[in-house]
Parts: sequence; structure tokens; C-alpha cells
Amino acid sequence: MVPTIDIRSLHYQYFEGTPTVLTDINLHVLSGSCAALLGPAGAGKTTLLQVLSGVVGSQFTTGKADGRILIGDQEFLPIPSRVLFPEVGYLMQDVSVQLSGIKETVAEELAFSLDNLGITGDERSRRVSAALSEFDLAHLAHRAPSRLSGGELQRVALASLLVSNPSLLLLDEPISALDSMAQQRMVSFIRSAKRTATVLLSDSGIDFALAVADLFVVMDGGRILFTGNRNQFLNSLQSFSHLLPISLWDEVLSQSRRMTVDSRITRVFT
Amino acid sequence: MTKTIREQFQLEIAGAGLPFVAFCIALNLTAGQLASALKLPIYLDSLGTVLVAVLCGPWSAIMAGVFSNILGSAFGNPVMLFFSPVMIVIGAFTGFLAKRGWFRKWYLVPIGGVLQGVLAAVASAPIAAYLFSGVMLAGTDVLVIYFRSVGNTLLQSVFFQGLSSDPVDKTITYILVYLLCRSLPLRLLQRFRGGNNVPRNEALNRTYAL
Amino acid sequence: MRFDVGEKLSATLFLILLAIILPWYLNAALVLCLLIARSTVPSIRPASQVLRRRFRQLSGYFTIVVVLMTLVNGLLMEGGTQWEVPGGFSISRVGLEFGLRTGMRLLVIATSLLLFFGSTTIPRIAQFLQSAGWPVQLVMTLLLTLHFVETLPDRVSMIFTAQEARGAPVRANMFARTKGFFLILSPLVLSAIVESIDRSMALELRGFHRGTKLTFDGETAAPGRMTIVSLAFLVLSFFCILWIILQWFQQ
Repeated sequence: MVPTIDIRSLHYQYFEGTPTVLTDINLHVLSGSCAALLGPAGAGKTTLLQVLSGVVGSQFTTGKADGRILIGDQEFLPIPSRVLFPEVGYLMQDVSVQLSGIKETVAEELAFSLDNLGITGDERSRRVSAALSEFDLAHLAHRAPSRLSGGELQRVALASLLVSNPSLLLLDEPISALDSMAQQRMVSFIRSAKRTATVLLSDSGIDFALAVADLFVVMDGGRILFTGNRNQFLNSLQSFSHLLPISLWDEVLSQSRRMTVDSRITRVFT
Repeated sequence: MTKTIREQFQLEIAGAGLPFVAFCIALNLTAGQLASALKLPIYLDSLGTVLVAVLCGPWSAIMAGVFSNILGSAFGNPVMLFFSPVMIVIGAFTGFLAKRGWFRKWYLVPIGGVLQGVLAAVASAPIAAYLFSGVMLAGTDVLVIYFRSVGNTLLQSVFFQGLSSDPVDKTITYILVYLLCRSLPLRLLQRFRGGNNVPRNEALNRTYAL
Repeated sequence: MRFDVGEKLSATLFLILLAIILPWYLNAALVLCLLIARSTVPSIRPASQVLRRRFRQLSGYFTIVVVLMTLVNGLLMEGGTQWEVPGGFSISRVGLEFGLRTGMRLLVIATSLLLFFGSTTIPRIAQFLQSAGWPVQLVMTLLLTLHFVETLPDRVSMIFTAQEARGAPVRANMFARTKGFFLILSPLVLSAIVESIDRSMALELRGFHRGTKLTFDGETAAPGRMTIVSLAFLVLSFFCILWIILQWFQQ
């Protein structure tokens, strides 16, 4: 089941007595949609994603949280205290640490999550083969993960997430290390992923989010400053110019002042 | 309630502990090479073990030390395997000192290092003497031969050879670990079970949103 | 003739104990036998070109060291027949025998261990340990160490270059170089801690915390069973230990 995400009045601090890193977070993400968390470094985007994944509740035993999180029909008061694997797939910002570091081939690396689920035999082989072909990794199946390029590493990291069929995808700055061709592939991937999963991604720019997101969430200092759809976001964009890099936006504006907002975006991405 | 060794070990390597122990094992194997590259006359082959003992605990430090010697045997000098008991002594003793706050006070650190060095010499002497007759395929074998030639028994010669280098090496290791841990911010220290074993550097204690 | 990891391990243990018991000329013969076995028994041949080269280099190095130590012991120790050599030195029989005894023992031990580690990769050892009942966290730590051993030299080199470019005294006097050593070690450990935190999160996010056994080549090894060969070597090792203890008491 593809879940909705509902966060109510979430506050979080890593240690008592230290500043709150998430303050009064309220967010509702519809099932099968893509929400983009936007904002500068230190805004709390990664923290929010990690709280939703359950890894923060599991590893930071000194953390203090208030509020409520609802993921599908699972309610957490205040936050998940265990990792929500395999329902949740999390792509880390640094994909090189995403891989286990112990597997000798790409195929075995993809199967690592399945091994942890106890999935063996034909089902294991079937899922690994499907992931290899979906991400164009079949020719790399027997290559050592340490010998992959950056783009190949990203594809392997994504594929390793999806073998466990998560219904919620949390992607932390998924295009930060990608070239423009790979970014285009990521756009296609997210558009197709929305059919079977709810997607939350973070980015420090706006271009990628404008191509894939249905819901735009602007954060700064651990707070949500804005939540809205694409048109609402674009209409409010000038308010966040100090938070979001809009160099591409400047380029677009200077090239054609008469075009509408949507046409400019279309021109950038075709 | 007393925890079993297995439970204590699980607590020590929980979270960031496991990958950090793996890094420290690799550090044991390579720190000596780094020292050689800088032409420094020190071994530092227990630097990782001491780091783990302070930040994680004694049981994971023992594991780190033993694995270092196993891998050291696999990658280079087979003799290293037999000195695993010395690493056990280093891991256990350092963990014991760390839990008692010896790494929170700067003046206790070199004292602890000297004591550790003497213990390491005591632990390695019987192994080197009875298993290898003092020959360990290292340059310090010449020292053992010299001590024997002036009338000492084999065990005494090996012990004196150990005393000539271990206290200095372990004191330097302890001081390095103290300085390293002192330079870590609180938010990182608190990810480890032994994070309270080291002094807090208040100037570095700023939180950050990930 | 194929030996599994358990059989090779118990054979290595037996050989090490045998080396302590046997006189030097039998140990020398044992080294020759091991070298012949290396070429003829597939299970103990080095597993790769790199390991083959390493075996040759290390066994050559140990042989040279043993010869040197034997000579040095002969020169420095006194007792028994003395032979005059050019240069005004004399080599004693007692020293030579001592050197040969310890040297040949060391050579057997070194050769046995080189053969074991040369023919058994660390992942195979980890698989064996897991099938022998070791906790999966220990096995994971051993395997993850290999990753760090591979990547650490590059990281050290990068930090070394960066610090040297910033003016760190990596090539000055010893005191300055010691300071330079810390300037390299500090960012190395800091980055390792940050990476460890991220890695632990990544492992947990991929379900590793569930404690399921690791697979190797897609298979989870069944719980290990002791073979007849392993048992035989272990029994022989037990008798060797008894012999050593007996000899020690008799002395």
C-alpha cells in the first residue's frame, strides 16, 4: 500500500539542552505523490528525512521529540523508534557509504537488503535481475563496487534500495553528484517511482524539484516556511530568493521576459 | 545488573561503533606505515586499539587488537598472530583506565602510557622468548642478542628489549589518542558508548542540523 | 585433494606446534615439504597472482633473516666448538645451533601461515567463522576492515598532500614532523568517525540490524561440521601440546 505521510507539530532535538533542530513541523504528503524539501544547508531537510526513516529514533537514544507522525496506517508518538525497513527506502547524500562495503560484486551488493530480509532462492535472483536491468547495470553485475564510477555508484545505490520494494522513498539530495544526463535519468526514475511509492526528496536548488515534485516545502532553521503546490511555489519564489539558489532562474528571466513561468521551466528541461 | 560479555560487546559496537572498530583495525595496520613515511621512529601498531578502548570499550578493543594481528599476519608478518595476547592486554587495560577517567585528566595520560608500555613488555616477553627464542624478524632482534651476550637470560633479554621501546611507544600512542579525542565535538563523541571517557572541548560544542 | 578452511586451519595449528617440537634439521625438511605441497596441492596454492608474489617475497625475506640471525647468534654467543672466520671473528657451534633451531622453527611457522593466508581469502575466513557460530557483527567488522584497508592509503595520501600544501611541517625536523603527523591523523580520524556514523545508519537502513547471517556468493553457509581431517589434525595438535608441556616440566 502506498502510504500518505502526516506529520503534526513535530519538534526534535538531538540532546536535551541543545537547540531544537526541527521546530513545529506540520506536513501532509499524499499517497503516490512527490514532495520536495527545499532550503539551504542546515535547514533540517536531512534530519526530517532521517526522522521519518526511523534511523534517528533508533540510533539517537538521547534525542527528545514531541508531536506525531503517521505513515500510512502506522502511527508513531512522537517518532519511529526503529528503522522502517523494508517499507522505507532511504538514499543517502553520500552514496559511497550507502553500499555495504563488504560485497565483492554489484549483484551481491544489490542482494544485501534481500539477505537481511531472509529472501533467498528464485525470488532473490528474480529481484536482483530485475533491478540490474531496470537501472542498466547488467553489464556491471560481476564488477567490484569499489571500481564503479560516481554515476554507476548512484545507480547501484538506487537499485539496492528498490530491490526490497519500499512504498516510501526518502532521497537525500539525489542529484548533488550527478551530471546533467544522469539528472535527466533521475527525473524519469522519480516520475515512474511515484506509481508505486510516495517520494520525499531534499534538494538545495529548485530546478530538479520543479521537474518532479507535486508538493514544495521550503525549510530554514529547522522550520517549514512554506508548503504549497507548484504554482503557489513559483508565485512565492521571490520571497525565498535569499534561501534558494536561483542562478538558473536569473538566466531564464534574462533570456525571455515575455514567456510565462511554466514555459520557461519547460524550455529548461527539454 | 551485571551484563554478560556478549551484551557488553553488543552495546559497545552498537550504532557507529561497528564501522569505527573496523576503521581502527585498519589504522593499526597502517599507522606504522604513516609514521615511517614521516621518518618517525615509532610503531603505533596499537593506535587503533587504544582509540577503540577509549571511545567504545574494552571488549571491542580486544576484538580490534586480535583482528589487527590476524590481518597483520595475513598481509605481512605471520609472527604478529602470536602477539594477540599482548593486544588483549592493551585493549583490556586501556579500557579499564578509560572507564576510570584516566583520559579525562591530561596528567594521567602519560602515566597510563608508561604503565601500559611496561605491561605490554611483560606480556610480550614470554611469547617472544619461549615461542620464538627472541627472534621476531624485526630490527630489535639485535637488541635481544646484545642483552643475551652481556649475560642475561633469554626471557630477561626479551623483556629489556621490550622495555626499551614499549613504554615510549605506548605513551606517545596514549597522548595522540587523548589529543585526538579532545579535538572531537560533543555531537560526535556522544555517538559512542565511551564518549564520556574523554574531556569535552567546549569550544567545539555546537550542534548542527543535518 | 581439496581442503576446506577448517581443515587448513587445524593443519596450520598442527604444523606450528610441530615446529616447536622438532629439531632444526626436521624443521628444514618440513619447510621443503611445505614448499613442494604448495606447488602440488591445489587447496593450498596462493589464491591469486598478488598472493603468489607476496608469498615468494615474504618467504625469501624470512629465509634471509633466518640465515642472518643464525650467523649473528653464532658470532655473538659462546660455547662448544669455535670456528675461526676471516676478519678475526669466531663462530660458536652453540650459537649456530641455537640460531638454526629458532630460525628453522620460525621458517616453518611463517611458511605454514603464509600458505594458509595465501590460499584462503579473508572473506572465506569470515564465512568459516560465521558457520562456526561467530556473531554476525564480528564477521561484518572483519569484512568492513578490508574496505578500510583498501581505502585508507589513498585517504592518508590525500590528507598528506593537502596538509603539506597548507604548510604542515611534514618534511622538517623530528619535532615538527611529529606535529605534522598529528595534523594528518586528526582529520583522518575525524572523517572516519563521520563516515562510521553514516555507514552505521546505512547498514541499519538496509536491514542489517536484524541479525540475519551474511551470505557469501549468494549462499548462507550451513553450520560448520568438523571433518575427519580437521579432527585428526586437532587430535595430533593436542598430543603436541601435551609433549611440549611434558618437555617443559622435565626441564
